[in-house]
Amino acid sequence: MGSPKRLIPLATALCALVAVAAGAAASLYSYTDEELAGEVQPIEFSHAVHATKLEIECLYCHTAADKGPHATIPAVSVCMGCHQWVKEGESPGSAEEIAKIASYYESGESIPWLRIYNLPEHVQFKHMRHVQAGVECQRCHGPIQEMNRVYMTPDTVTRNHSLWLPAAKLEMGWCMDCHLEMGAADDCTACHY
Amino acid sequence: MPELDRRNFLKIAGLSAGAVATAACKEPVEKVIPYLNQPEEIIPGIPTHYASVCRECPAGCGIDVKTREGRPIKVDGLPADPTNGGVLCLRGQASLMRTYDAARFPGPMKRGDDGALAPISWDDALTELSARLQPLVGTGKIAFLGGLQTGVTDSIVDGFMKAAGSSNRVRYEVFGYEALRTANEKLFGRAAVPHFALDRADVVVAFGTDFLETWLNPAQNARLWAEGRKGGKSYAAYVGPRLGLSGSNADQWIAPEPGTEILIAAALAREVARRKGVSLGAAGNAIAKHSIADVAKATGIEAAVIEKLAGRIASAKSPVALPPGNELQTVNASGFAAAVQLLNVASGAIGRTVLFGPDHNLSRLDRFEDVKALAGKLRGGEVAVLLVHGSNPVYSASQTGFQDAMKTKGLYTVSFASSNDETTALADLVLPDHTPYEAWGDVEAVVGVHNLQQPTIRPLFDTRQTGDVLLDLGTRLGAGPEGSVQQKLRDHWGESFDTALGAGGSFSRVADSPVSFSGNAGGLSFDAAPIEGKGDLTLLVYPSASFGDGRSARIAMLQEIPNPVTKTVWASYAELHPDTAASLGVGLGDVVRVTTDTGEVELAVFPSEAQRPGTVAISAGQGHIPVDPSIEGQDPLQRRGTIGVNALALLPGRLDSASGALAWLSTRASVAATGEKRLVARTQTTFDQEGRGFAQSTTLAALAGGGHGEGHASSEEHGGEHQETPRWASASHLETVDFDPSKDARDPDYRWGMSIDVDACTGCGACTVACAVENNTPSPGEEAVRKGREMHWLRIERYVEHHGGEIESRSLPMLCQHCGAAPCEAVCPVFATYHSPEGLNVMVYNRCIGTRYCGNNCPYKARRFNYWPYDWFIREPEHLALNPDVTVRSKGVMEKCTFCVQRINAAKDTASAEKRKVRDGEVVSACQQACPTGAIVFGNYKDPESRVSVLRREDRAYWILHHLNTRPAVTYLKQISRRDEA
Repeated sequence: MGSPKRLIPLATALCALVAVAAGAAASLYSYTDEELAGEVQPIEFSHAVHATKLEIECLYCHTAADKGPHATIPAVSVCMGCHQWVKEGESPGSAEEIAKIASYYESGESIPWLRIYNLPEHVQFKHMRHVQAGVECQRCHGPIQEMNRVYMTPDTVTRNHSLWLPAAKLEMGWCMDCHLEMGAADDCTACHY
Repeated sequence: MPELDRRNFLKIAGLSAGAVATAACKEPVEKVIPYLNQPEEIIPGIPTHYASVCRECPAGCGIDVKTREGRPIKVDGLPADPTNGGVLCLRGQASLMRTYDAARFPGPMKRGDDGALAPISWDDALTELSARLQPLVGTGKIAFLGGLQTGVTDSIVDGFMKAAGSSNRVRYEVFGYEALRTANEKLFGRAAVPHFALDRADVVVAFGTDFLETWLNPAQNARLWAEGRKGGKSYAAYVGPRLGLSGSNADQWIAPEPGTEILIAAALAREVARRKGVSLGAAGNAIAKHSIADVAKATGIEAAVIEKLAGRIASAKSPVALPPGNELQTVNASGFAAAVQLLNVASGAIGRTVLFGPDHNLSRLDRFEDVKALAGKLRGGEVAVLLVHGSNPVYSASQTGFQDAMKTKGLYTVSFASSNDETTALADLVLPDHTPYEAWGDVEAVVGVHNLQQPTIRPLFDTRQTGDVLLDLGTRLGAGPEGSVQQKLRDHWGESFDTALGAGGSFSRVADSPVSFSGNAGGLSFDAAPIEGKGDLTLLVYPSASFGDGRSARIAMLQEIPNPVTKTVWASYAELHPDTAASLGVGLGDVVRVTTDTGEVELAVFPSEAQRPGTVAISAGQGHIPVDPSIEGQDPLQRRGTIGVNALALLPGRLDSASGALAWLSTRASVAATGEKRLVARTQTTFDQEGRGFAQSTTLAALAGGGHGEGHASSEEHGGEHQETPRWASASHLETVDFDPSKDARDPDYRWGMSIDVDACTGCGACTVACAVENNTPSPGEEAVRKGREMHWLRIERYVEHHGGEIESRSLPMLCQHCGAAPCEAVCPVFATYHSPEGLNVMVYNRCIGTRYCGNNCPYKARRFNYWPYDWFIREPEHLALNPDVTVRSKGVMEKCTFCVQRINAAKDTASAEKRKVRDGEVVSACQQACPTGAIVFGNYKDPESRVSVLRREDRAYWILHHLNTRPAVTYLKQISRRDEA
């Protein structure tokens, strides 16, 4: 893992000003283990259980990933499709978590998931173009199928950055690396308009 | 160890500063909330289209509503609708904003003892109202005033009135075509409003007809007009004291003494009948006294001019004369309309270009005098409860004394308006209606054309559809039909309902039913109408293309659209001929007081050549009360204050006695300077091209003769008096040899470009509104426009050419030319604007640092700068109108036309999924889609067979400021002059 802690030897090699700067930068951008484990969501949903253990296809829930700009978070009715029957899993506490889905559904409220992957407003990203081009989900979302809570992988955070500076999440340079590698559009209007 | 370059060093240094300050900050947590049950037809991020019908005016155009995640974001014409045929006027384009108006009533309101409106529940409101109605059932003391309603919607009102036991129902529209209906009844025995087939006409004579602004169906008229004019066909003359949008598009302007226009029509009818040997019977005798010589004397128009026009009509294959619009509605409006129809009889137009049968359903309307009678009943205590829906008589029929009548003691008034207006401000109870985008309904604007209206958004406020409320009230009264509007529609349409809903309705072509000319004019007079009152000038009140009868004036986007003739925005102006202005000692921006016998207003002067000397013209539709009385002064975008003056209130209320119509052209006005001066907010400061050849023109003769050789390289001279070739164009060293826009892009497949036909463009502004809606451009308001800070990406420039004493207007849509060698790109210090491989001149908002160098260097003034954070001024729920596919720009960012790159990308998405290239015609820019005349074509120059490529090779093709070597991607096609060669 490209831990931000690697910054420290690097910073000492620089002049005093830069050392202070990088230290401060690290304090801003470093990720605690807790954060790496992902935000606490309203329901302890586990991709590891659904995608790896039960081998449910990504597109079963994220139905629009291959035909719309948004992969879409499944409607609560989709969860209920299975969970009106499946009321308990193997992991401890799963029954309580599953019960939450039903209570959301019955109350007529949707589930207020926290957004992990977020793009700025000036970026027009389209899932379908990527899925149709055969880009695997993991290319951007990391080992999503193994995650309990979803987090942005350090891989997506620091990869290919000179100085290994931890970059902001989903940075353009990181997008462009792949676009150039795959021979995809390199024009600004592909994403910005 | 990685290299530490300057850029990264600065990054770290910058971070450290930021980090110290914000070490504790984290990105804000956003939520992503899925559907509870996802509707099957919705894929988030992909638009869903619904067919419906526009209710902004009685024309009832079929519309295609583009929705995203359950909210309409764009409206266009429904191609299946045979009337508008896929196009929509600017008001229809902007009508969406009515739904997202922050000033709408949040729910039912009741006027308290203090005179202020306070919220009340629907249940309480309806209980109270039905309690008031109950004892009145059968007494005839319940009155309903509404606009034009047709189909099931109309029968629901009828059902309610039946339950209420009253026949006091008035259907009133400001544009009521009373005179035409009366004239047709007298001449042909049918009080109908026929179809005028402009597409078939080779000579059009309009008598003050605003066929491109409000008259009948302006979108349809424009479409047919362009069809008829294609390729230099058709000649048009306009008779009237002022050139509006319609008049500006005519080839000849005849401006008789105001009030005597009828004589021209009569003289033409008489002369054409004589030449063609058509007998006009007794009516012919009635106009026999109007010989050309006498009429010439009375009108001040040379006999030769009338004679020549008569000859033109007589020798035309299918001429049409258009009856007067409201602008020329005199106290003898019926006689005038009859004279025009006599001309149509004489020229053989009836049954050929004037088609009875597929009539406009306007003959169901009542007349202005009926509103006057209703006001009398209110005052006389004959009405105890008045229900007002879709009508604003206090504003538009102030001559009836409706304002005082509403205040009659013991009268209880209910308004169904969705936001405050003059009539609602006097109502005791407000039961806000859904906006048309939230409601069910149906329209049969033209016989045989049944449009279905379906909701495309869940109601944003606690409103109820008036039809449903009436059904509920009827039930409470114990006699009305039960159910809901939706149910009634379903019952009425039966099994075909679902199919019709998908198609937008059912459209059948009604065959023309021949009418026979009765041969007499039924006692109508063909004399000139008097212009009375104190003052030296004739007051011309003209219908506005943007505001209609005033109901669209609330929409900020339409206030931002320049008046097509004066190019002024956000205000009313007293338009005076420059000579008249000079004689009064006033000029541009001088505030004058315009006084008639009924009222006076103060407004700034706009000198305009497009009208007869001795007249003062003011646009109708402005001068509303503030929509929210609690807001003091004007808010940043001036949406709630009073804008301009209400010109209709200056009319003294004389009627055309035969038809009961209000005479708009009937009074004199005095104009006096006040000594004050106001800044004028306008988007264009000169109509002179100064020899730069922006809007070029050619003649049919030149096209026929010069098709070879020289081609489009130079433009011709007009009658030797005006040199149109740009002065610098002869500097051949500046000319780009073999200019080929497809070479200005390195992409192998695409070079996007556009073609604009100046001959087809009428200057209506539908494209500008479509662009603003599609691209989230703000309406920054009057103050901003005064400083030249309007934000439209696409504007219509108007240029005036002088031919002796005559003027010729040309409309020129101007937008970013996506130059192959763009001057803006070279000067951007941060590469925020650059040339894309597909030839687009791209603006990357998030790179822009706001130096405005690019705007400075653009010779087309196509770039717009966000001087203020206009996005901050968006109030809830206005933000729902934003197109999510286009970034909302913020303060300090430059923006401009993108050639609708979001639509290009959407087309590429489809093409890529189908593993093919984008086809010609697949990308349709918003302006192209809106253009009623098909003047705009978008496409790919790399495809030699694409429409843009073909048009580029036309003889009429030219490029604006081409000599600057900008290599523009927009090809303009010259206007074809149909003027007589001198």
